[in-house]
Amino acid sequence: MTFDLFVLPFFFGLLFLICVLVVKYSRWIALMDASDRVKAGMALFSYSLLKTAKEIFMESLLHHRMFKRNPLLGFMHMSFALGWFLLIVMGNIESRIYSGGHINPPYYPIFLKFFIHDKRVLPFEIFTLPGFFRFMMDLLLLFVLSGLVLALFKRTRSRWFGLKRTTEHNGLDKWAITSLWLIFPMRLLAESFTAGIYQGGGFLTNTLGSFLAAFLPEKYLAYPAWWAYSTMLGVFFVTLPWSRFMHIPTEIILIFLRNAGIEPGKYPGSFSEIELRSCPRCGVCIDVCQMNAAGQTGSTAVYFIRSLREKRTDVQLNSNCMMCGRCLEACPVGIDTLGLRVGARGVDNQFIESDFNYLLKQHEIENEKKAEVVYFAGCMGHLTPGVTRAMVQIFEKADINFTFLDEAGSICCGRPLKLAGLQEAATKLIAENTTKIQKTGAEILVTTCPICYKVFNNDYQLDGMQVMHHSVYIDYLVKEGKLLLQPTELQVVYHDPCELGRGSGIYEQPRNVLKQITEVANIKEERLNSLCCGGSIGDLLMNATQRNIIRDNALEILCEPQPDVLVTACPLCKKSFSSANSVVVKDIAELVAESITIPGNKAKIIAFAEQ
Amino acid sequence: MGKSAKNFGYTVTRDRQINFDANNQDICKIVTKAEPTLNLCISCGSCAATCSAGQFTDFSLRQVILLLRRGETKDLNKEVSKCMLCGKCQLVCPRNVSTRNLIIQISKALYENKMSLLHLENRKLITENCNPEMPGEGKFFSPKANSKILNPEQQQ
Repeated sequence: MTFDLFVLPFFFGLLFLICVLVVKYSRWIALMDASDRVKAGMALFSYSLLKTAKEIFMESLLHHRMFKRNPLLGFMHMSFALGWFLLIVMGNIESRIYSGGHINPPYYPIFLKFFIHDKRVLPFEIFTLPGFFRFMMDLLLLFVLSGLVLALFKRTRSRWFGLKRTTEHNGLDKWAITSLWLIFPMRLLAESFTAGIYQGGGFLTNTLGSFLAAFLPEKYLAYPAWWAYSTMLGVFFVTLPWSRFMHIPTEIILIFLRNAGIEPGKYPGSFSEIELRSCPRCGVCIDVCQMNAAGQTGSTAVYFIRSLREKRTDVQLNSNCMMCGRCLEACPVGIDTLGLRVGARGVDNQFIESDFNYLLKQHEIENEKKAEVVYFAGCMGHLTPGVTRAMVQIFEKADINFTFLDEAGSICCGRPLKLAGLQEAATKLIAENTTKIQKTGAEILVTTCPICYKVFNNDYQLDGMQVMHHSVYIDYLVKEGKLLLQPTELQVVYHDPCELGRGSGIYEQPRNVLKQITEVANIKEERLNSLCCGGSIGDLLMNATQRNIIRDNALEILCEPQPDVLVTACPLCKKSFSSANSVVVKDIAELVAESITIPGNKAKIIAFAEQ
Repeated sequence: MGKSAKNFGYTVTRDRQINFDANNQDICKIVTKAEPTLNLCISCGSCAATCSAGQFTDFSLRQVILLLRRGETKDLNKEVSKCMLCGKCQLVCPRNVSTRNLIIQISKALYENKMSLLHLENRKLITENCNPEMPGEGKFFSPKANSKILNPEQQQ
């Protein structure tokens, strides 16, 4: 017997799923740029395929990043993914052996216990363990079921899994997850009933089957249970392409494309479509989002991505984000939440016309001093004159041939426009600034504002000019011996600005400098997990009250070790934090300027420090 | 270059007569609804004084808000398009007006207003050129009239 009517829901569900996936995949391939298509094709035959396979195994099956977040959460995801995968693999091998190496219809391994219920020892098992397959299949089913039990617990005890809040799912997702959850209990029941009748199961199904046989008419229940199992599989497959479980087939593609070196590119495009569908809505991004505290729960990355995927254009969702990158850091799939957000904003804001022709006039009046180092304070730098003054002092004390490019005011670096999705307008400012900077003939560009630093680094073509944030530059000066620093007895906490830390990966240099002059205390949320000050220019919608809540929450954690000074390296963070008036906030440049010693010039330093 | 005291952002309007009846107050209402913090503005001019764009051109957010409130929205888009969204004004604003979103909302309201005017114009063209003799209660119009209908791209 190799066919029964009950396999039809599963069979047609699977057929439907495959058809939908083929259509979707071919649409994505058609949407791709020709050069990307070539790259992807090449990657199929290159070393990167091995990397892809490894990553798929580590992330899609083992859920390594989930484990790092929380072991219980990782185990739950792994038991579903790896358990189900192994069930399929093992089931296929078993059915192949039973049928003597023939190729079976796809439903055959899934419902093998229905079709074959003898206790024969297979030829393969004679050399290994008798009952090996029956034991393994039951063990794997138990493995998946343990994940299911955890998933049920997670509904009410999400804190055990490291999640304070979980995603609020919509209708289709609820259908999909219900069918997914019912698949395995149904399989257990169907196999147990059958095992109860024929004794052809393993340790789990046989035991449960004989136990249930005592008070249930298994003869009549087995067949309906197989129907229910097949139906649940069918429902799951039909809902999958439009539910969050679309991430199962899509994440694999995403990992492949990323390893093939394909850039996210334009939004909306093929890559962003794939990214949107790779989001499993696991909700890891919810807790890390600081905006929850300010009551801004609706625009968290998971909901933003869902709205984008469902093509509900919602300006509120797209614009209400500080772009701090904490969700990007937490995302186990590595979806570029910020890039998608910028893309969506670009579509929202396309009506904005920008006209920067007035900038052409300024060419006549700008300074054209040549120097080795060019210093750019930026808009935010100009709002914290203490920081720019300190930087000028540092340059002078270290005897650097420098020019202060925007001493008399500057135009914007273009990053705020980029964050608002106005790439084209930003390009104009970038071109303008590039000419100005290159005219100085400097080798090093020092910026005070991490926002400028990031855009100078990523988007400007400065012909080999080295871009340094002032914290990095100070570290360089100290290492070169051009600055001698006098240790103080201050105890400080260093706050990593979003754009400098997560945005540009600079964590150590400012700490190196600070360790020379102060005692740096460690805090809970630092480096990769550092907090946003609430002042971010990434957000377009939040009002001052909401920003202040975020700032105060951040300050609470930052000030836990009771530091004398809260040190940051971003003028915007400094402005936000100092507006709370709860702790002394200083920029790293100010602290350094206060503790510079030049050999043989001590009296001057003391006078300076007293100032 | 820096501003001279004369041009600090406070002397933004010349003496002139304003005909309020001819002005369009709707834009201000739409913008206020979208960004309610506009109501907090006391026209102190801090935004204009710190403005990065204001150093190079006569752009002033204070003036933009003034014109918006008066309903003089005719040339407002040209003014707003000078903004670089750098956010200095938002940080110096003593009343915590969300100036960056304000700029975006003004652009949006002006754009939507332009589009709806265009739509009205098209409707007028359609009704004027309908043939009442034709069946279908004036739903049909001659292809000639059809060609006159503007679309946003042509208008621009």
